[in-house]
Amino acid sequence: MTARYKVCMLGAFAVGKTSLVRRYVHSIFSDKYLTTVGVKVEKRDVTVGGDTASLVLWDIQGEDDLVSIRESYIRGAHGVLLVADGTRKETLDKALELHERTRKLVGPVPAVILLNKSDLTAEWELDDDHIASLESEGRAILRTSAQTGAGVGEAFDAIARGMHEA
Amino acid sequence: MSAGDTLPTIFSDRLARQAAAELHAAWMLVGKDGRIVNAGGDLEHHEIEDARPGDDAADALPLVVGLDFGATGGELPSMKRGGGGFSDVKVFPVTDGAWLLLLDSSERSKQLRGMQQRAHDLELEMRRRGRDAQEATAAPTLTQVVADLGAAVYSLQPDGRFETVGQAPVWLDDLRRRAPALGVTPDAAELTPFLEGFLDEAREFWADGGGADRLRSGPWIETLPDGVEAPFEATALRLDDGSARLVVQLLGASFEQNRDLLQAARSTRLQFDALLKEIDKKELLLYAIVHDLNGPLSSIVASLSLLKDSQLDRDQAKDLIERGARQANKQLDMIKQILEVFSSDIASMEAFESEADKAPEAAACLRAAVETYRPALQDRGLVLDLSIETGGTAPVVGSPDRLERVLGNLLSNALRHSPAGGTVSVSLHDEGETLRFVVEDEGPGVPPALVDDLFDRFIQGRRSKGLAGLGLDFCRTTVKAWGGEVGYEPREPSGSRFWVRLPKAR
Ligand SMILES: Nc1nc2c(ncn2[C@@H]2O[C@H](COP(=O)(O)OP(=O)(O)O)[C@@H](O)[C@H]2O)c(=O)[nH]1
Ligand SMILES: [Mg+2]
Repeated sequence: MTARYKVCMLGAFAVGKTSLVRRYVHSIFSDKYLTTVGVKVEKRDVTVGGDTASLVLWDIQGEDDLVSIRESYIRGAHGVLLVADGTRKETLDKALELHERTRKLVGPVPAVILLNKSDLTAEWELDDDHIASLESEGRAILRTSAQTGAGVGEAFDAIARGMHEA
Repeated sequence: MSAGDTLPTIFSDRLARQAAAELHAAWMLVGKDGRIVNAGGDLEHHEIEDARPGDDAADALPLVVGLDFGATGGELPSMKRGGGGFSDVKVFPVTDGAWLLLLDSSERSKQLRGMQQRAHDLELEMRRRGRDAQEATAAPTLTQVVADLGAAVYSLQPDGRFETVGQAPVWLDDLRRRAPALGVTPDAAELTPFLEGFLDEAREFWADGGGADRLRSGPWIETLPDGVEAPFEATALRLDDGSARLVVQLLGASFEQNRDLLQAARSTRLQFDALLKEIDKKELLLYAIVHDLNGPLSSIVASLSLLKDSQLDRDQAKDLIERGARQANKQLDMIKQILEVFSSDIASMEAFESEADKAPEAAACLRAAVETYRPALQDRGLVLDLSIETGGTAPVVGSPDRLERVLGNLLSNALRHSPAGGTVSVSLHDEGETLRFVVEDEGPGVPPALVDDLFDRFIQGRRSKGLAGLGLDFCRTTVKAWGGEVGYEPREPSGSRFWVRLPKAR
């Protein structure tokens, strides 16, 4: 039987969670910003370590002072992708905060931090030293662009591998 | 229909209220004699709150006068109410001669309307089949009305299985095509992944006994087979008699209104934040420029105050005046540079020459720029090494003044960073389709951290290059406008190499 892994996409609003899932599952990208309300679940099969597994991706609405994430969406997650927008540095703090909260809910499941919108180099706000220090604390961090597709496959592969080995 | 009859009224009432609140839906059962048998839901929204069983239906709702849709029923969309709003009215023939009227808020989006229309057609079709099959005679129960309002209701059986209560709404059919088991037993494996997760939680909720009477899943989105995305919400209910129900609802107008509001709030927030950042960057740049301009000005003020001193002899005074004049010129230069940069966005749209006979001559421009800087280079004891590899005339795309200015910027850069006695090498190379100007120095080179945004006027973070950044930004914008490129690379063992590549004019 193929393993099924629940992966939650978490992060502030408009960081690109929906775009990453759409790029990965449907190979499409749109400039238009349509905020997600609630949650949308998508699936894609992957091969990890020679086995086939099914990634069940929970695209959860972004959090801000208007809306907070329902814990029930996160329960039972086998892994989390914490998404930040590299052109808005406050979104990385939000991603780290959400990581703390998920850890309390589901324990130390595999997690990868995605610094998305890597195509927007001119507006990039994240400081390399800060990223390096997070990495030295043992966090997995990858740069992605839902727009160009750069790093997207690698990101989902990384979390799949993490869950498979867990 | 039989399962529905077992539904406790108290539950169906509650459910009807909940559904009505979401959808502003109301219903009215009208008997053969034209009198109201029963009515419920959000009657006030449709301005029929005074309808009472036994009343003449035509008094409450004049549209029933002469109503005849034959055996299949029909729809009266967008019926204007006295208060100005609109109601969609659906008419279902029930037992012989009686009608069930469903009133729905007309404010929802087109997409849902389309779905509803389709759902409605299917529903009528199913109803007709159902009627043909068993010659139904009973009046519709409230459960059925609830189903008509778009909710699917299941009851949890002692063996842990779910059973449909009442008639399933038609959108369920779409969902069922994705998750074939949903209509009968939502605990089967092929459930939509979201519901599957929620059911685990719901089972815990039902099992644990005390506390709240309901557990809501929160909204989720399903893509139906035709590509339409529809919002749903599931609610696990504990009834007063302790039995369990699962309600799956298609969310309506209020959901969409919420989403639109949230969307508007978030888009505004994003724009606002971006604007703040832009202002922030400009302030930093302004600060850096003012700081740079202040340097020469302080020297001028110092020279002037020394001049006031009457003890100075003629030569000393002359020296001070010259020093002041040099600083004043330096400042003039800076101001010119600033003006050039801020007008370069406009200037880049200005005409430039790409026809060979009118275009600037590369070697001549380079020589002119070098001559301007030669005295300053000599002052600093620097050696100038000029090598021009183009034979004959080499016209290049651009305008002579501005090209001289671009090359001058690179020379002034080299001058500033060269150690005393060092060599500044300037060369021009023919690359076939393009010409390349190169300016090299023996200074410390650009720190690696600054290389990426070396040619940017604005840089991110809490630092700004001020005027030093402006010069290179001017080079880049100007050269880019002519279809060329600028670049930097470090030299071995140390030093900088800046280059400008421009297409030849033809
Ligand atoms: N340039 C760029 N824009 C992106 C990228 N990913 C998302 N966006 C844009 O950012 C906005 C928000 O994306 P969305 O996926 O809705 O974010 P979510 O709220 O986290 O789901 C949209 O306008 C997207 O087009 C990316 O990698 N590069
Ligand atoms: Mg989203």
